[in-house]
Amino acid sequence: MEALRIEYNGNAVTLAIPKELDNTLVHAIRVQMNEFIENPAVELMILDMSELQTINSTGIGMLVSMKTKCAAAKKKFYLLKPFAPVLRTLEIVQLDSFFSIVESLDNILPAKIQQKSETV
Amino acid sequence: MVKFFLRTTALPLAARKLAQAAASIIGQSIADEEIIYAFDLALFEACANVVQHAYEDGGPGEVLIILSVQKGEFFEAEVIDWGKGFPDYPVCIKNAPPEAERGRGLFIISQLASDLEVRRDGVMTVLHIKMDIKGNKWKHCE
Repeated sequence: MEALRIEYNGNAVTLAIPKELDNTLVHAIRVQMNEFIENPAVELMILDMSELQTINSTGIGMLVSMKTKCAAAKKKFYLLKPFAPVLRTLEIVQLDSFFSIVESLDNILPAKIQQKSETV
Repeated sequence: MVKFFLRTTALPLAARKLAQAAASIIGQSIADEEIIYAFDLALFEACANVVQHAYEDGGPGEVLIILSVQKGEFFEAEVIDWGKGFPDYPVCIKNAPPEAERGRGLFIISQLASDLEVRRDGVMTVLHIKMDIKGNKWKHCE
């Protein structure tokens, strides 16, 4: 399984999805995101999808679950820069407007203080 | 018509590689990357469906892709398993509501393919995906 890259930026956390989103990785992302949702210090969660080449319905289900849980926990949830074919797949299932999709973090991230990164 | 038979154990990584292998074969005949991407995604969904649902009662079982290429006209795949099958036939294919976490796989395939059929054939479940492709999308030489 490819590693997950995590970047902390104030009360925001960005999790970068690797190129291929298989079932094992979907589970790992769910576990990691659930930790963030339960962490009161995290208010903003971002999935960096810029490297992801293909997403299937299992991966889409994970995204839906994360958005729903974030909404219930009153946390913001963004998808960052999905690759055009991945965005097309979200359009096919009519979820492109369901998610908050951004091309840049400039307008959503707090000031870059206490930034740190890790790989899990 | 040229036929290829690709078969493996219905486990996540093996089934994904099987789908990619089938898409790679098509990539040798089709010039349009979007078509190859769509076919790969359709097979990704079909194989994942077998892995997740076909052999719940005692797997992992196997998954077979029979790939047929009629150059200049169409290519098609039959994704076959020997598992429990769907509860009802014909299978109802529709999009899931936005908040649903499951139930989009067959709908995605139906939107990517020219034709999709799911049937029970004896002890086999057969998911038939057909892609009608116009002449200029085919590579001239192989």
